[in-house]
Amino acid sequence: MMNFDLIKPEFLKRADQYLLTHYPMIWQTRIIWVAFYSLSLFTLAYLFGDYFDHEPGEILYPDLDVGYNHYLVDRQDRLAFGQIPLFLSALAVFYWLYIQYQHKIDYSKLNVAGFLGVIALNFACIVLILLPAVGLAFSAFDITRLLNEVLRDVQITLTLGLSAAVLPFIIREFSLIEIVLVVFAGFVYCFLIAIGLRLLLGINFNSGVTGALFLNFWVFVAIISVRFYQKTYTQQTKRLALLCLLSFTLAFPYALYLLDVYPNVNRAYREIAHRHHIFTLKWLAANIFVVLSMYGMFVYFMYRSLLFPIKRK
Amino acid sequence: MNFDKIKPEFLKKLDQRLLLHYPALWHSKIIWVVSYAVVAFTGIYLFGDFVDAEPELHQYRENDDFGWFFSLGIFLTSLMVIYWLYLQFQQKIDYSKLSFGKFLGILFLNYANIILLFIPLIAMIYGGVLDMERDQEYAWTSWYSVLYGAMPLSALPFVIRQFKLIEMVLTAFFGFIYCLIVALVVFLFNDSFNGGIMEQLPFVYILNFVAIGAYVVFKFSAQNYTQQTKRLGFLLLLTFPIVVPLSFLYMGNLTDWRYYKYDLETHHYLVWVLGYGFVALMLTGYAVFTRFMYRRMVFPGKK
Repeated sequence: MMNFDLIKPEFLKRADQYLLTHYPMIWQTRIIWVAFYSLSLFTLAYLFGDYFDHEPGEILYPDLDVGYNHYLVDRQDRLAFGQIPLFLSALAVFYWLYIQYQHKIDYSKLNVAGFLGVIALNFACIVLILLPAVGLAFSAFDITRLLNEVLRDVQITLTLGLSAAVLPFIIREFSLIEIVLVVFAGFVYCFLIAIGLRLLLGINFNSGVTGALFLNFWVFVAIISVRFYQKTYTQQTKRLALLCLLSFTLAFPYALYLLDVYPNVNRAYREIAHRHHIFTLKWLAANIFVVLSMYGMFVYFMYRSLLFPIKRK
Repeated sequence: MNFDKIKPEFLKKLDQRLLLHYPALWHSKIIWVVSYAVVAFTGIYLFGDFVDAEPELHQYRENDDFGWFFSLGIFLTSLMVIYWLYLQFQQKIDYSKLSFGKFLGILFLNYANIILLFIPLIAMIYGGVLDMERDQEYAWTSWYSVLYGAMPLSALPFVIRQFKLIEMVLTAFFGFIYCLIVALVVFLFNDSFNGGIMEQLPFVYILNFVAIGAYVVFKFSAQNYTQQTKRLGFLLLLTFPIVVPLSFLYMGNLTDWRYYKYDLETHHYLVWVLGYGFVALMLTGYAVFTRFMYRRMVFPGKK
């Protein structure tokens, strides 16, 4: 495997050693290395990003408004300074998950608080990994609207991909291709439900499908909970549990609507990330802290149930 | 996962026949890919319009249809491409005895498979999911981008067993980072170049690609390649479709020439011929390099 040892500073290596011997759970998250690489890249991106992008001074279309011309010039940076850095961050999250997968960490002695603590650390790692993309956006985009669009994409990625913070607990239960197929089959299943509701009951997407999928989600959670509680789960039950974990961030905004946090379903989903109000406290409290806490509880329950041998068919 | 229950009997028999008589076709899993494409296309074409928003009823939500259906469709199809690559990975196919023609044929077959996986997305345009002309045009542009990106993917089955998945992820990651560092270096020495950074950067990338290509070819020819050389070879495979269009910038007024000679507005077929001719040429280039790399890797690598 690739050797990164040459670029690691000595004091961090010593800190890493200290964490390994005194706080192994913190060491396993690799947070000091994630912080080291991310903050270094963030600094580089923030300081130098502006030297490479298009500057909105050029007038491409003399007939159009000057402000709109500036917008069009700056918009040319969306791929190189918005989408590609986000894609690279996603690859880095993938690598971080791979490192977690390799560790074969035993979480069985942790209590709920310990689980929540590790989840918070994992979340911090994911935020740090996304940070360079944010730094580059702040540096490269001169038009506020474009900057906000990139920040919105980062927020969507963080909110909907929150399950990455709990995947290290269960990732060893599945092969990679199983995860890929579970995601695919899950989406196809949701579309089939939507089509079925429309054809059989005449319910259109706007009025009832999201609610039906939400109900379906909790039916799955109930089945999984009973199966795990009775220790009668199979590999299919585990896959269903994985599907619920991955799709929880999609189902949760509907719960916010039901709890009157938002006045309607559309608003609840739009507030996952909105160009005009980004990284708000309400979003942090509802879509991040509450979701992470619920994840913590469910994964704790699931992990402990998985310690018992599986029922064979 | 066991998909045996949903496979029709006649296709199983056909699959058996391919296995016995045309193993290369069987390896590519094309009949299953075609079945998937037909079922998914028909499903989306017939039922897609029942779940989307209609412009006359929900004007604002119609804008979201592209993201909800087409972008999501690209993501889901990408998962299917990963699954198809996984099946190719599992088969441990020996390509070492193939002639160049057959090698090229398999590359085209792989390309056809990947395109077929993306075919159902077109049903969204014709089936009424994307109602607005702007969305339809954007969907076609995205679809052609996918056709372009499918080229390196169709060469992957030949080399995929040489790398771990995480190696591929890291190679792609560091490939991008390396390009950013090259851009930074060019920027620092910007005064040495004529015409400014944005004019010279593509040339530096092409030069860099050719230098890495020459190094990799030399290492493979001398049979003293290491795993690092293989990774460089893999990076070349991935970046080939990015570098080739950059080289067009230095081929004179190619676009002007085309416009003067032919009026593309009235000769749509010429756009198709040029486009698909270009893809065929690129795939042939892939076959030459991948076959060379594959045959060299049959010999054990230097540790």
